[in-house]
Amino acid sequence: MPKSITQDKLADWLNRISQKYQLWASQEREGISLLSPYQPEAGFTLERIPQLSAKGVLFPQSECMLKYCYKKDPDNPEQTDLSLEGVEPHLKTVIWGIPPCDVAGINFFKHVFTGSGYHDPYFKARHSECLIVALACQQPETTCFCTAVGGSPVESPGADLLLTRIDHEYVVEAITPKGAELIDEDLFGMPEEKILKVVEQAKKSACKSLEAPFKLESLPVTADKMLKVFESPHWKEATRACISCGICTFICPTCYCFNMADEAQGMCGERLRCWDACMFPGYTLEASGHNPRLAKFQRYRNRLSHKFSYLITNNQVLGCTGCGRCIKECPAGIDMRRIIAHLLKEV
Amino acid sequence: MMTKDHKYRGPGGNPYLPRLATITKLYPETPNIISLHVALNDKKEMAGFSFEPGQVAQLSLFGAGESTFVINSAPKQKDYLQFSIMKAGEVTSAFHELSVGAQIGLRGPLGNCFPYHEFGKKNIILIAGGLGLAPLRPLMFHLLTERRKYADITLIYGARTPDDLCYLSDLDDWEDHGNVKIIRTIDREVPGWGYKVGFVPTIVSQVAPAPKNTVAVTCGPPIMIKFVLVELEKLGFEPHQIYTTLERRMKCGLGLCGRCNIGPKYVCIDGPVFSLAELKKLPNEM
Amino acid sequence: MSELLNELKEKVAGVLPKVTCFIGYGAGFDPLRVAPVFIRKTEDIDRLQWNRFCVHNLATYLPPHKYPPGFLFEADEKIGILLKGCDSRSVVQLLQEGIIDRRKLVIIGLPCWGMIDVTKLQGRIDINKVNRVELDEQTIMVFTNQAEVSADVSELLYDKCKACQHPNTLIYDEFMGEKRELTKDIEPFTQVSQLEQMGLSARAEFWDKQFARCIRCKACRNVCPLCYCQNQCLLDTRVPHWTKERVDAQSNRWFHLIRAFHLAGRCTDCGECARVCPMNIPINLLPMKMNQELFELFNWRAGTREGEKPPLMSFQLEEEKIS
Ligand SMILES: Cc1cc2nc3c(=O)[nH]c(=O)nc-3n(C[C@H](O)[C@H](O)[C@H](O)COP(=O)(O)OP(=O)(O)OC[C@H]3O[C@@H](n4cnc5c(N)ncnc54)[C@H](O)[C@@H]3O)c2cc1C
Ligand code: SF4
Ligand code: SF4
Ligand code: SF4
Ligand code: SF4
Ligand code: SF4
Ligand code: FES
Repeated sequence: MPKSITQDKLADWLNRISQKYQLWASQEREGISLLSPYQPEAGFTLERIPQLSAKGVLFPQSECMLKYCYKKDPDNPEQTDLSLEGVEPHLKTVIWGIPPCDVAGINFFKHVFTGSGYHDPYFKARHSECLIVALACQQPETTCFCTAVGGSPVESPGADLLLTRIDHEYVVEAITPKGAELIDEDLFGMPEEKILKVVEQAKKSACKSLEAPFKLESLPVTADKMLKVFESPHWKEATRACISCGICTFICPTCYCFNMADEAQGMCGERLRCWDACMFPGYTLEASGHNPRLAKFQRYRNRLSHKFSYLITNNQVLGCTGCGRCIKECPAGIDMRRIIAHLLKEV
Repeated sequence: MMTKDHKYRGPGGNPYLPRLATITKLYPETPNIISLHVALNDKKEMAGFSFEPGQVAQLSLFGAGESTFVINSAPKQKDYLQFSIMKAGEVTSAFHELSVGAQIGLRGPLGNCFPYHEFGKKNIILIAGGLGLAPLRPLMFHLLTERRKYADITLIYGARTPDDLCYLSDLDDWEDHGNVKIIRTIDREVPGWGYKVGFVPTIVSQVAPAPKNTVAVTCGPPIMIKFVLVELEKLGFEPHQIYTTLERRMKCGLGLCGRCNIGPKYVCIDGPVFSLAELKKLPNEM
Repeated sequence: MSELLNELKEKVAGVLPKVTCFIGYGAGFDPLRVAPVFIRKTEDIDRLQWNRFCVHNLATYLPPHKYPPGFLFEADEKIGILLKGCDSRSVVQLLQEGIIDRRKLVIIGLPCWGMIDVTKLQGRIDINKVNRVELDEQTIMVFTNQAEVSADVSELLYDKCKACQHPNTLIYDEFMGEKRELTKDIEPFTQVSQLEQMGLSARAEFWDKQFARCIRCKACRNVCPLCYCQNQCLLDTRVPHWTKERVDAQSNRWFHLIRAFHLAGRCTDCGECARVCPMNIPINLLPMKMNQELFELFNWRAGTREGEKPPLMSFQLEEEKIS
């Protein structure tokens, strides 16, 4: 049975969660909403979808993979010994108040980082101890298109709890038993029957308000079609304005590419992994100077082909959750919805 | 080709963590290439280390970083692994500063291998340029351990100058004791050079190996590979008779960091060895 | 506005036979935004727009170092471009640095009355849900499915527009409309001066907070018409190791400060770096500070005087204000 909590009790709820877990909630910071470690004095916001997706909680922008230390052998100065230490994160975490497309992003990460190939131990460790509280979207933004890529603004598989706001009340549905444990009885009540009806109504109208910018067929057909348009001149046409920045990839809930690099401090140091982006020219630059994706249209083509074709072939998932961030924040006004729609019409 | 059992597990099951290793020997191969013998510090792991010709390892020099290198020793060699490193950028230059005894990290074996079990009874033509001989070296060693299984073996090997040829003593050895026909070439005439002169693809067309019952394996700089493939197809080789190894900028070696893809294939886990037939199915993004 | 747009289309129709591509503005993803368009065919001229949202500095597409021949334009292409006053300063500076070739450029100029910073509406209405906009010279009305708001255009202008001293394109081949006269004197570096009044520790805290948010997406650098070093940039090299790999306030500060130094007397105040920043960092204030210094030392404002040599590209044995 769903429970409900009134707006004025949310802060209490968050305070309690934050005593047991590391809690991430959106904070208003300099005009943007940013998912941040919760601090009671800084408050929280549920007004807009967070500027950056939730991926950074489980896949931080910079993460230490290992620490190393070279030490001179005191008995034999010629000899230098090396020691190595893996670093594995263990933290019970709650990510609170994220939209369903961000939850979908985390589900996506499960496929690529803990799927059939090699597993990523860092993500796995973080993910296994993480609970997710999703918030249904009732007024999607103009750039949202989750329903076109198999998502929903109001359902959130993969989350542990789902909140739906009705005026000053939040109806809470437990999706998993672990999620149910986050519901402290004394803060929550039973929603009235009529509220539940309003919730249903609100959910329906949210879905209706989303227009599909393109219609995808089955995943394999989509993968195949996108491969067929690889040589289309449209890639070049549509991406002339691109400035090859990292915005669309860094803010995307599914882009997972990373760089590995060492940072030394004297004889010791760490190996870091940091977000990288296939939109950067240096991403594929080889030591010889050869670069298989030198032109920006090639890089953009890789980005969308990865999302709408390669990932389907390799992991049976689509690499886009329809959050629209890459459209909203692109400095050059590049709208991937239009590009996909155009390309799909070519085959 | 490689099954799941061949996955690199890494200390504590973390495939990003290298095993510690020691450089046991180090010598110049050419003016800008050094060869190293590397032994895992854990004796048992070293003895149990097995790899297939064509596979690579990630070598770490902590502080500088990690890079991909082909394991070029004989698969039978259980005392050490050999690598040859060309000075290119940050990590490779740092390796050139090392001396025997240096401690490094090693992750591997990684990637797929040459499908030599499909080469039985066939003529084999190996075509290499410069350090491109490195991946073919363990393959040759392996072929020679069971020499009678294969028909003619030919190696066409070129470099810019005589100084840039690698593994010279191996070449003589294979020629004298391995029943291998070796055709050496350099780009431009040099006094005293008693072999062929010309770019590798040109020599391939001169030598004109017959495609019937033959497989060709080629490795070298991208531009050489490109033209060798053209020549081989002109000679009538079918795409499934031609194998090559590809290079891409790499980091994780595990198919996770994203960068080494050609279409849906990752050079680090689906490669580095590809048949031309496989490559033809991929988007054209070399 | 709409007369100017019609005139623009006529002008572009006239220019297009002389160039291979014309860079202007076209529709964006919603009524509040436009996007750069690259017009190559007459039938595409109708895609052009000109309105109060045309903020992008199109000069960023010109330096061939940024986009090597073949990847945006071919080496021999002659390009047409629409430039506002501020954008034309970038072109002047690029010409002074010898980076672009004036003969390969056809510039259409116009008077500009300032661009609307849509983020200034945030708080009054959710700018990501806007489906309709009504706009005249003074007022803007913005509608979402749930709400509407009207505001004075003058309040919403970009800060750079409020301080604009060059509203007319400085160099051009064709000019449309009547030149705009500035009615009052404006202090160009007010934003910097305001920040400087904060005191040292407050300022350090201010910048630490900004740098902590930076995700190093490099958009600020990439959008900048004067940042054309690309892979040679300090942010993209490990040898020498200027910036640490870890993305944190400390190493971000290093990057942004060095970048500001590299832009000293070269930054043309187009504000693009701040506009594109997805983390709302007013990063243009750092190069602006350098500009202020160069203004005080050399009476220099980048890109405003065609034909002169930038002070940091020349030297004199005796400098008046340096001892
Ligand atoms: C499958 C494979 C096998 C290889 N085998 C050998 C070999 O046996 N001997 C040899 O000398 N070289 C080999 N290389 C090339 C070697 O990996 C690069 O020259 C080396 O990574 C350059 O590193 P750097 O730090 O010196 O260069 P930088 O230019 O400083 O490169 C920085 C980082 O980028 C990556 N990178 C750059 N270029 C390449 C590249 N071409 N391939 C992969 N990663 C790259 C590396 O992670 C490197 O650490 C091989 C490459 C591949 C893909
Ligand atoms: S955000 Fe836009 S400009 Fe930046 S890389 Fe992506 S598509 Fe290009
Ligand atoms: S590709 Fe764009 S719309 Fe799709 S998930 Fe990524 S940021 Fe969101
Ligand atoms: S789109 Fe690019 S950055 Fe994103 S996951 Fe795919 S390859 Fe990586
Ligand atoms: S700074 Fe001046 S020229 Fe530039 S957009 Fe603003 S008002 Fe127009
Ligand atoms: S645009 Fe903003 S977030 Fe991106 S690198 Fe520049 S300052 Fe940092
Ligand atoms: S090297 Fe990381 S995916 Fe291939």
